[in-house]
Amino acid sequence: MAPLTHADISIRAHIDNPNPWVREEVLLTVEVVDDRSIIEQTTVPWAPPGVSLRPLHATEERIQTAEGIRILRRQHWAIMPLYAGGLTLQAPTIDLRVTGQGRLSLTPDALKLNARALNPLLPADVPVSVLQLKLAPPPAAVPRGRPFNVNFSILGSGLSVRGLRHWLDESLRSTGDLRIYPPDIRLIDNIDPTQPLLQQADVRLTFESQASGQLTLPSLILPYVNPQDGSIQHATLPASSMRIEHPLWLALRPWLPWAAGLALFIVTILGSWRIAHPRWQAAKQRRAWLRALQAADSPKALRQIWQHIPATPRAQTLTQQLDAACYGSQPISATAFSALKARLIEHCLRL
Amino acid sequence: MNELTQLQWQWPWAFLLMFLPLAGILLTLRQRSRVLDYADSALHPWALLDRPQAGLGRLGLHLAAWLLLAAALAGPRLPVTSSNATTPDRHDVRVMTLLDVSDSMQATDIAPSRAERARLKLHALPDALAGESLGLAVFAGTAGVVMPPSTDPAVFRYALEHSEHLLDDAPGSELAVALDAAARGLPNIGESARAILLISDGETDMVRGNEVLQAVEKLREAGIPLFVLGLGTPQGAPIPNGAGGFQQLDEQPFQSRMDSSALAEMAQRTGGIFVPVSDGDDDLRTLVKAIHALPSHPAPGTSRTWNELFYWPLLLGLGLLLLAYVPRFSFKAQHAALIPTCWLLAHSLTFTPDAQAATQPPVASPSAAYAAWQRGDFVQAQLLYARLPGTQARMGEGAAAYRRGDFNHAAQAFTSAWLLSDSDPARANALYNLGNAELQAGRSERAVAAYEQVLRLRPDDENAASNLWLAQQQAEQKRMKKSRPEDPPGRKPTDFARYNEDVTPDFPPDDTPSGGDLSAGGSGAGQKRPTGEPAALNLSEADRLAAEKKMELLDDQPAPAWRAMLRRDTPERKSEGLPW
Repeated sequence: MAPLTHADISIRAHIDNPNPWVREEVLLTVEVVDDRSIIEQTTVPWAPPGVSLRPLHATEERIQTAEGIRILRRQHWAIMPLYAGGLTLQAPTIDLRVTGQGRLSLTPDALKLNARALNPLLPADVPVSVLQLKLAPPPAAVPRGRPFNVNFSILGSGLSVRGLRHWLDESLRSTGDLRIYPPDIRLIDNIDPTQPLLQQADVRLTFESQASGQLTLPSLILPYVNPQDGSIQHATLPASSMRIEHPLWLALRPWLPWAAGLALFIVTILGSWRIAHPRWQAAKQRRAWLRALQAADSPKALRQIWQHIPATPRAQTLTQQLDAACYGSQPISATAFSALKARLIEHCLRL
Repeated sequence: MNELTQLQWQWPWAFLLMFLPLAGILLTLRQRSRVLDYADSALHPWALLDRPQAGLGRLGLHLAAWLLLAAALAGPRLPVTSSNATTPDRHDVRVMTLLDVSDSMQATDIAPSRAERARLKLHALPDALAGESLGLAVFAGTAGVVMPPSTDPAVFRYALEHSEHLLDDAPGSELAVALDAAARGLPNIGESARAILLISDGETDMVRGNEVLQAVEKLREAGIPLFVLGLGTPQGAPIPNGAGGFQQLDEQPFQSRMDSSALAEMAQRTGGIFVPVSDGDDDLRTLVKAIHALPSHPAPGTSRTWNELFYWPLLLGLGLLLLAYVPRFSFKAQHAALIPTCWLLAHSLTFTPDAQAATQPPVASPSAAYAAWQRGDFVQAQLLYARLPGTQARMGEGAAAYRRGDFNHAAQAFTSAWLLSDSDPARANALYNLGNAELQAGRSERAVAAYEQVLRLRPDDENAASNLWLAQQQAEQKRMKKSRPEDPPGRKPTDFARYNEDVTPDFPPDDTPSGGDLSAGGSGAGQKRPTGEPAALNLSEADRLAAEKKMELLDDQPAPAWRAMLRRDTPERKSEGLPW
């Protein structure tokens, strides 16, 4: 019995690159134009020989045609040819449940693919795609004896965890002071709707250093085949370095600026105190002396105060005059007393 | 003398050989009596040999020698008593590691994260143990045994690498279910001890509960101690939700804290210990020391090593045999060679290799590897180069493997060196060596490709040119052999050009589709396969590479298989606690 057909539903398949290299992924798109009568659409299990399949995302959009509004459904696959030479690729059959017509199977026309041969010595795990590496900034300093991670991403297509692990292992070997754990690799598909083939491998490398000092991590070299010309190239992650420090020191280090600030503050206060306090005390004493000199009403009172004031060579004359005023045969006149008091105050002001 | 009371015999039945001489004597006597009966007494001197008086002594010596040789064959030996600290014996204890893979293990109060630290600790665990069997079980909202106990660290690490996301679809932390599952994964076989090593953040909601207490009680009754490595802090940390935020409870970020006291109590009830995680290996050392204290069968220390004593009766027996023939033995100059031979025999029988020297691993460095290479120790050189990164190390590894005759390994190492090289001279060197290895391995087509690429990089390389010619001859020969299987075995082609004229080689070059069919993803369209040949055995280079790529891509998806296995074993039960 011939399969049912539908005049307003069509199917088409195309690939974006009919001449890929062996093991280079190409994008297969199957487009179904729906007149809005499709209830359900499923892909018949499909395993074409000679290629490896990776299902990608599906899209749906409305389009305006001469017959009216239609729905365009696109289903994508990544196709990786495993053999060189010509290949007839049979696209998948789509089973449809259509309103009023029951079930309908549509198969697009077969596609021609001509895969170019690679260097026969290349191992199968070398990706045939340009690789880009994105390194997350590694920590500047890490504690000794504690594991730390270095994360980076690999962008490309046709990647595999096993293949990447092999090439990472070639660059990473534990030494006596640096323990390297097996890398953790997570492959993420469909990261960019505009580049459906693009994959991202998130790699987490875990290191543990047993010695303090400057640590230089090994550089990573990942070989790949450039699909432009089939040449072998390298994606390189340069060696990064970091400080390995004692865990206690590393825990204390963030507090160091605060501690230094506090110490500086204390030193400033103490220094200021040591400088200002004697001066302030001297000024205070001088004020007390001036006040007492002002209040003195007799030479004896003046002399009693004068005895507390530090003697200077210039004060010898004043001391003699004061002694004469106190113990002389003639009592000092009020004018002379005032003059003497004024000179004593003037001397005190100069201290 | 006390030691002799412990003397044991490895094959006591060998003493039965003592009776062979008696049987011989009896037979001789019987024969003699028959002879005596046959002949008259006057004829006896002619019928019987006139044996000298010394014959009895020689017979005695023979008998004693035979007895001693039989005793040597019986294998006398004394058990060696060695202290527990120095015994290298395997500690036969089965340990099931129970790993918490719930969302709360993503908290980062333990650097880099609790889950990551758990992975690293378990990765280092097999090296710290003394041969205990390690199994792996995981738990979150449900639990399951990923692998039963095994003594192979590589299997354990493989399972560990693939266990992180096995229970992503079962949120929660059901410790009681996990303990039951781990105990089920440790059936009671023999007399060796069993133990569970729980690696968890021990949140309060998880460890405080009647079901957990009951599970712990079951462990205690079954005699399975629970050792706990606590991955968390009492202060706790919020749990990342994967979208840049944190898990919320009552509209507040939930703080995941470790309940150390509950974990310690659980461990103590079963006879185990609780150890909080620490930097370095102190935590593992403490746990391993406690696991070492568990009873093992056989117990390490009461070792199975023996001090073999068979050489004493052997030497004595040989000496007696020598004595039996002394009258006929005339010492000559060439017999002097027997003295060093006897000395060497005795020395080799009593020689004990220095185990310390044999087990000391040398430090891997380019100079050490090169020194091993120079003294001709290619095994050691290959091992040391394999532990070093970089192009030069791969070249060294390949060269050492080449000298050992392991051409496949050599080709693999030279391929890595070629792909990692950053200059044309280095690439040419690696390709030249790769060509040699491929040629020696019998893959002349690949050798041709390698030499051709060397000549593209270094057109004046005469060695590569001559080797290319050789490889081309071999490839041609192989092609002709393949095209004419009916040729008589003795016929050897001498003129390849003439043979090429009438031969259509069906050996597919690497750039055309080949005849192999590898299941669903086999060879491409337009292929031609010779009829009557078994497809599975006719793999070309293109088929091999396609199969390798398929396997590589398949190997990236082990999780569905693991998940299906876990789902088969674990109960379908919805976790009632918090979803982390």
